[in-house]
Order: sequence, then structure tokens, then C-alpha cells
Amino acid sequence: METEAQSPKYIGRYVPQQDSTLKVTGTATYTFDVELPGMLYAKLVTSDRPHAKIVSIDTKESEQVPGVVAVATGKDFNFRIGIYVGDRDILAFDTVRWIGHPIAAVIAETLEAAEEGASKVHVEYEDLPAVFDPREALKPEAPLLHPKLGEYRVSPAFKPIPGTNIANRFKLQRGNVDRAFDECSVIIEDNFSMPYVAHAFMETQNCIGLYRRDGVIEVWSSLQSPFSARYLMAQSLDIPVNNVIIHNTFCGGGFGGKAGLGWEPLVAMLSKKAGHKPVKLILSRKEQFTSAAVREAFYAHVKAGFSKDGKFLAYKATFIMDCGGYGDYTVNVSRTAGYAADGSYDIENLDVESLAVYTNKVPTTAMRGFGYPEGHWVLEQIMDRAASKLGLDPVKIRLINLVRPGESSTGTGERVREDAGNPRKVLETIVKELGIGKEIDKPNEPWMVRARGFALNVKGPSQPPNASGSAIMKFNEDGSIDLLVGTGSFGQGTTTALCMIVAEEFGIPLEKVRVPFDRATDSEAYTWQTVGSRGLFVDGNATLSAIKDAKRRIVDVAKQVFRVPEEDVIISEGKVSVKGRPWLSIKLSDIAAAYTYPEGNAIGGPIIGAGYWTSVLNTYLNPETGQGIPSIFHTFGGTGVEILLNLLTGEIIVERAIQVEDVGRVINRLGVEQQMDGGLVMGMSVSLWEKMQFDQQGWLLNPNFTGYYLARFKDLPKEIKKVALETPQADGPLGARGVGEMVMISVGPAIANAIFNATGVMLNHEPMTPEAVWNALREQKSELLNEAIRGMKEHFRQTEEVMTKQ
Amino acid sequence: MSFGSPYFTLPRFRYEKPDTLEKALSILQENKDDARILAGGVGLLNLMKERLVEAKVLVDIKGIKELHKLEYKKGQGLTIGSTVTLNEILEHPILKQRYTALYQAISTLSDNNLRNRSTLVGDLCEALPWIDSPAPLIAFDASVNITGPEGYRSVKVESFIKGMAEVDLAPVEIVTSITLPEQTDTSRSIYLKFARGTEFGLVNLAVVASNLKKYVDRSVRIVYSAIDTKPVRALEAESVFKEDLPPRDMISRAVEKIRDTIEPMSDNLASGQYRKHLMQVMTYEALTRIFEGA
Repeated sequence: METEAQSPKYIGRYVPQQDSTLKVTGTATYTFDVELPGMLYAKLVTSDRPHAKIVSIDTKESEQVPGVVAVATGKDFNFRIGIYVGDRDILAFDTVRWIGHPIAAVIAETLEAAEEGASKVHVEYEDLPAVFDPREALKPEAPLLHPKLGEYRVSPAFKPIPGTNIANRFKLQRGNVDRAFDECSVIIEDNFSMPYVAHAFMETQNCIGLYRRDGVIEVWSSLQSPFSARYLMAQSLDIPVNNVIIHNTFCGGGFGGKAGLGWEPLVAMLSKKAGHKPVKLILSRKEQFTSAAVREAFYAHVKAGFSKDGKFLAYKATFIMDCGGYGDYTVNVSRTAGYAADGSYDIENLDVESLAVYTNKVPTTAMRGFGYPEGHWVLEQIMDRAASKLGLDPVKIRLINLVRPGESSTGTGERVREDAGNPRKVLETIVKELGIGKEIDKPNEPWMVRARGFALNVKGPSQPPNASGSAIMKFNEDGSIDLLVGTGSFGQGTTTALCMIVAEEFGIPLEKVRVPFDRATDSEAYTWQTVGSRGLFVDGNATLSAIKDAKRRIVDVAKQVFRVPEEDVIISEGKVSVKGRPWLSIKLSDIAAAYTYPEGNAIGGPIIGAGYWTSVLNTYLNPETGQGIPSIFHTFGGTGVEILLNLLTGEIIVERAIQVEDVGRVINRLGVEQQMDGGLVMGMSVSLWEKMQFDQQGWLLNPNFTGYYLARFKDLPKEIKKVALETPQADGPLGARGVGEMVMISVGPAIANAIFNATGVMLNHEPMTPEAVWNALREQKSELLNEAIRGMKEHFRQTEEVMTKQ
Repeated sequence: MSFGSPYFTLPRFRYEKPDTLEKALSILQENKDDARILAGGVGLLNLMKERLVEAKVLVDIKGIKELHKLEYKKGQGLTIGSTVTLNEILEHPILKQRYTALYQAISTLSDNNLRNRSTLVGDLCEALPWIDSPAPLIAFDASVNITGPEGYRSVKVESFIKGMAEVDLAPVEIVTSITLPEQTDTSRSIYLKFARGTEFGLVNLAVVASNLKKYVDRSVRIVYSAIDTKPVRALEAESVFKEDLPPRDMISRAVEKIRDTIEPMSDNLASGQYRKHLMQVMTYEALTRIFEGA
């Protein structure tokens, strides 16, 4: 059997997402839209104390509100959950750990009654000392958030330290940094930070639970990873995994915030408490900001040493992740930032300690690219600063230090595979497309500065080494195909790409291949999670394996129909034919269900293909040194920007941007470019403006989009150039690598580098708001600001003279 | 700043939609503090969701025809009824021509969809520090026309806003319109708003000037919002323009006065120090542009 080589019909082309029509017409069904017979509504009661013992919860008044069915409290859920460290309660059962911590849930016949009931639950507290800064929380005298940390269930890759607020400690050790620093002629030592930010997905975390009378739990949920939610839920309730069914409906955005386990156990148990009726919980935007999980705040102290000819010799870093009230995914954020601290560079001596630390703030979790945006914000700025100190340019210093696929190894000691991608070409593409080295037009206004900057990125999925995926494809009577995959669908476009692969491989129109929109874990194929840009790679490989399986079954039947050896059977253009004898050909639809001979007797049957993919190369990391193979691939890329900086106000305007990623092979070009657009805007928004602001008592001051600014259309650059390089990876699906997260990682440091290159001003802390930039200007280059003010007066004076002469 | 709502539902209320001003006034009279006036609803409904405003009766005034008046009379000025939407105001040709600062302020106020619903009077009556309408209205010396059980009265916008979310309006009264006095052919105005990376302006500035070339009749009004709990008029800076000096000296001295006499607030959007810096830069630009166009 073989497939004829010809120019692809779908692969590499611009193909709209298959779910676009339903989405733009407002007819896609999200969990928010799902209504079930007899459904009840739940409303959370949340803490108004940052850290306190719960003395009592009085639910009597609430229970008397007409329509209220029941009120659940922490004592209804006497177990802990958590994907990596089981530090999380479903409703606080002894202690509240942040303002917004859910304490009780009121179940009622209407949302109105549930909300009224929630306002009538009275909680008596006994305040405990609170800590809001993770650097304070590390001190021995700091209040302990989880005194029973030593008793929690912990996944093997993580190391909480009982008796402290450390939820995870990761160490990466390679070479000898202290000795290497002695050989360095340039050493840069500095502090960097990033604030708490929100995922800001359009649909908040909505969830419906139905605890059936037969003991099976059904959940409809706005989530990314139905299978991990299913597993974690079954594990925490101690029931068989197949007794939990997660309905995989449309999900209005995730960005990592809907990975792992959300509110599913809560609504399931509420359903049980409410007499096995379905219970729906919808989060308001405020609840999403204050009672669910967001992105952690990050603090870094780093020391980087370079030889006089620009070789990056030593990197010593301490990362502190402020993980809030519980660790959830953030323990893995700290691990990932630790093992990936060396970015795209070959650094022989590394000493990185990365901590996730509890504080009395909103809990945190994964967010797009986790661990990598943090590390790159620091490292990519260090590269430009070192270049400036060494009298090199930012391109040259990177050329000296970039990893060389096939030769270098990463910080964890993994050899960078020969087909990992082409970081050098990424850099060259940015140089060319951004016009680095070419003269920059000076703005007319003397207080405006035009500048260019760039940063590179690299990222691989952060997942357990044995995380796998599978796919099932079913042929229908007419040769159309239902592709059953478990990857979540929250706007990334993976399912369309998978359908394109199937359509291409069988030579059938794309409309004849679909991933059902309304899926559930009991009727779709397993995949570990939809995170870390792993979907296309893992589920794409599983789909190819399923295609191979289906083809084998087709060939099995066709060789009997044609009476030829199986190697002579060709499947292409929606047909099954015989090599060299084109007159022997039948349509796929003739064989998809069962082949019927002219006499009426049949052979074969409905064709089903099944396949899976698991990495055979990955390992756990050594607990002492962090050495091992954590990723199934690394995608290399970068961002270049041309910005306007207003010296008078500190405003940054991104005028032009270049996004480059070596994606291995483009499956859906439209999908890749949309990710590049989206990643750029999200990267701009997060690095320039977004910040969750807490006051001294731990109250979040901006829990909605009035106070928490997100990029708008007006903030978009005039031009976004998108380049997808294609250095195929042998074990990627058709050579492809993931791209969904990489595209936002280097946006912030590219902007900071542009400002540094033009003014020498260093911006160590996100977000780079106008006021932050103005402050940095005043502190570091007040002469620039004074010049700008003089320039403004001079500029207006000239126009004024023209005016007075009239 | 809104603190966000944990609730999806509105508290229960009675909805009334009278078709005359008299009926509206009598409903208010009956319910007093329990009643609130609903025009566009953009602000009110959110505040009710957040349980920041309690209302047992909502009196929708959109059915009262006389409140939907938008009229310019030469020599008298512009009258904007309380149910006229922001987009309706923007479409009036006189606005851009004679009341440029108000045109610019409304153009930057929220977004096009909300401007189809929001009213200028509603924006003003919300009286939150960062809203856009007060600065240009005060700079144009606009008045608020109010009807109540005692009859009709008119107050200057400048004294109508008494503080944070506080206006000179009794629960039994209705604002029927806002009047902006006629502007002469020598009038110039400008509105500048600094809002990059924020939903609201950190500093909003309106300048309205007339007779710039003849210092005896010269008038310059400079008004800020978003820098304090209520709008701030820069009286000391304004007085600089009463002197017979070259424009560039007046501008510099006015900016110095602003630096020395106004202390803007700090909040979670910006520090007072940064606001003060922005005020100087923006005032310099606004005044220069005003004089350029004189």
C-alpha cells in the first residue's frame, strides 16, 4: 500500500475553523447555554477575610429563603483535591486562605433564590495573621497557610516542604556556576517581576453536575482537559473512572485556566445533596477573578555571567512564584520555569532554584506558556544588556550562544535533536523582516522615539513523561468520517487541523470529516490533557496512527475485492484502486460500511481505525539536579517589534510586529497565523497593561474589565507580519510542532529590549504601563525626559511663531 | 471604580414608564428615596447588580417626549434633553463646529455600542470622578435644568456636582436637560483624555477660550476631571490669561500655576505625582493648540 505524492489539498493552506459558523452566529452551545430538566442553581458564599479560622457557619436564614433547596458547606466535602499537590479544598472546611475563598454553596430552584440565599449565610471567623508577599511568606516567622502540607497527596515530580509555605521547590544544577563566574568579564545581576494576571477568557468557568441515582456522575463543564478532570474527580471520590462522564461542550476560551480540575467535584456533590437533580454553577466575572484561579506573580533574582567574547558562561537564578492560597498547577509552573531557565541558549553552568510559595491571595494555575514567559522576560532582556556591555549587538550575542540542534544540549542535559527546528533561521528572519540595522525614521515630534527590539523564544509542553493520546475514526456509509479525539476545543483550532490531516490522507473533501462538537469522555478517545501546545502533536500523531489502522482494514477488504497483493492497493482521492491498473477502482464509500459484490453478497464491514501516541523518550527529572528529558518537542521562535515611545507620558505604541515560529510543518496556515495574531495581542496586553491589584488587606481592587484593562482593537499594531518556518520533526505529525503558546512568550521582552536599545532604560517589571515607564525614565535617564520637555516647548514655540506672524 | 458584581440577577423592582413629566414627578413624589430614574440604564443597572444602589421603583423616562429634545438656537445655545443618547448628540452638526471639546469628549466616552444607549445627562448624574462629560460642560459654563414639585430651577454644572457620586438633585426631581450657552465666532475649545491601558482617563482636560487676541475680553476656562473626587477648575491658571502677555509666556505661566496650585489624587489607576506631570504636559499641548487655532 502507498499513497501517491502530490501537492496537498489542505495541508499548509488557509482553512477556516470548522466551528466558526456556529460561533459567529451565536448558536454554538456552551455550558452556560445548557439547560437540563429539573435543573437547580448554585451560588457561592465566599470569604471576606484573607486568613481566618471558621468558627461557625449559620445557614438557617438562607435555608428559609423561598426556593432554596439546600446549603452545602466544607463539612460536606471532607477531602482535598489538586492536580499535583492535593492542597485544595472544595469548600473551605476549617480555614479560609484568601478573600474570595468559597465557604458555602446555596442550591436553589432559581438563580435569583440562590443569590438571595447566598447573601443570608452568616459566617463567624477568628482571624489569623495573613501574608501577601511570597518573599515575606518564606521567612520563618511568616504565618503558615498549610500546616498539614506533609499529609497532602503529592505527584512524584513535586517537592513541597512541610513546615514552610513552599508548595514546590525545583533545582536545576549543571556545571559549576561559582567557578564560571570567576572567568566572566561581564556580570549582570538584577531583580525582575511579573504581577498576578487573569486569563480573561470570554466564558467564565461554568459547570453543571448530575449525580445520577445509579452512582454515575455526569458533568457539563467549560474546561480544556475533560480526561484529567474525569480522572482527578474519580480519584478524589474513590469511584471507577468510567463512572464519571465529562461532557466536552464548546468552551469559551481557556488559556490554561481551565486545565486540571475546576468546579466539577463541587457541582457533582451538590447534585447528590440536592436529591440527584442537576445543579448548575455559573461564575460571575468577579467570582472568576477572586474565587477561581489566575496566573501567579513572579519574582526573580538573577546573576548572569559572560566571557569577554560574549559566551554565556554562567546563570544563577532564584525564581519565586506567588501561588496564592493553593498551588494547583503553579507547582508545575515553578518546575517548568526552573528547567527551562536557559531559553534558547547553550549555557554550560546553571544553578536555578525555583519555588512556588503560598500566600493569602487568590490561588493560581497554569496560563499560556507557563514558566516560559517568566523565564524569557528575564533572560531575553539579559541578552540585550550583556550585548550592550560587551559592545556586541543583540543579534551577534545570540548567534554566539544559540543552541545548535544536533550538537547542544539543554539545561536538563537533553541533547537538542537535529530536527528540533532552526533557531538561527528564526533569528535571521526577524533581522530581515524587522529591518534590524536599517535606519529608523525619526518621528516629527521631538518627544517621540521610534525603536526596534526583538526577543527569541523556545517552548515545549510541560507534561508527565508518560502522557499519551489516542484517536478513533469511524467511517460512515457514504465514506464520511467521524473523528473521535479527546482534545478540548476552546478556540485553538486543533480539531480542524486534525480533520484536515484525515481529509488529506484519504483525499476526501474536508466537509466529510468532523470531530463532533458535542462530545463526552465515554464516547471519545482518551488524551491526557489539552495543554502545553501538545494537542496537535500528540493527538495529531494518534490520528495518523488511527488513519494507518483504518487504511490497513480497508486494504484488507480491497485486496480481496481486487484479488491483488495488499502492496498494490492505493488509497487516494477518496478512492481505493490498484497500482498500475487505474480501471480497477472503487469509491471509499463503496467499502466504508461493507463492500457489496454485484451479486449482492458482501465482505468487510464498517471501517473503524484506532491509534495512539505516547512519547517513548521522556523521563522524570532528577530531583536533585533537574536532569532528564521533560519535553516531546521544542518550538523555536521569536518576536520583533517597532514601537513608538512617548518620553513625556511613558506611552508605548506598538506600530509593527514580526512573529516567527519554526512550526516544523504548517497544517492549517490560517490557524497558525491566527495564533500568532492572538499571541501578539495577548502578549502586549499582559506585558503593557494587565495587573491584578491587591490592597494591603488582600482585597483585589480591580475584579472586572472596568478596572482590569485588556487590549482592545484600537491597541493593535498597524502591521503584524507572520512567518512560519518549516523544519520538520521526524516524529511530529507530518513534521509539525505545537505553536499555541510560543507566540506570546517573547512579546514583552521584545518591547522592553526596543526601549533599552533606544534609550538605555531598563524595564524589569511588568506591566510596562505609561506610569511605570515614566518612572523608569525619571529614575534612570532624567535627562531624556527633560530634553523631551524642552523639545515640546521648542516644537510648540515654532508653530506659535508661525501663528503670531499671521 | 466598580468593584464588580458577584451577582447575575437584579434585585426585584417595579418598573414604571410614564409618558408625561407630571406623571413621572408624581411617581417620584410617591416613592421618594425608593425610586430611581432610568434613562440609558448603562450605569444604573450595573450599580444595582453590584447592590451599590437600591431601588424599589425604576422610573423609565424614555417615554416622555419633551425630554428627547436636542436643539440649537442661534444666540441662545444648545439644549440637550435628558433622554438624548450620546450618538444622537454626536450627529448634531453644531456640536463639532461650536462645541468641539464636548464633541471630542463624547467621541472618547466608552464605545459606539454603549453610546447608542447612554445619555449625557445620565453620565453627568452618575458623577463619578473619571467620567468625561463634566469637564467640557463646566468649561462651556453649561447649566442643568431641573423640574421638581417646587417647579423649575437651573444650576450651573460646576455646582451641580457636589462630590463623588453626589449631585444637587433631590429624589423627587428630574433633570430635564442641559443647556450650553452660545459660543462666539472667536471661541475655541479642546478636550484631551489620557487613557492608554486604562478604561478611564487618568487625566481629562477641557479648555474653552474666546477672544484670545483681545486681552481685555479674553476668557480661558480650564477644567479637569479624573484628578479628584469631583471636577477641578484651574481658576489661578485661568487668571493668567487676563494679562497682556505674549501667548507663550501665558501658556508657560498657566502650566506653572497648575503645577503649584493643584494636587491631584492617587488611586489604583495612577499616582498623584504622575497625574500632575500629565496635567502639565496635556495643558501645555491643549493651550498651544487653542492659541494656534485662534
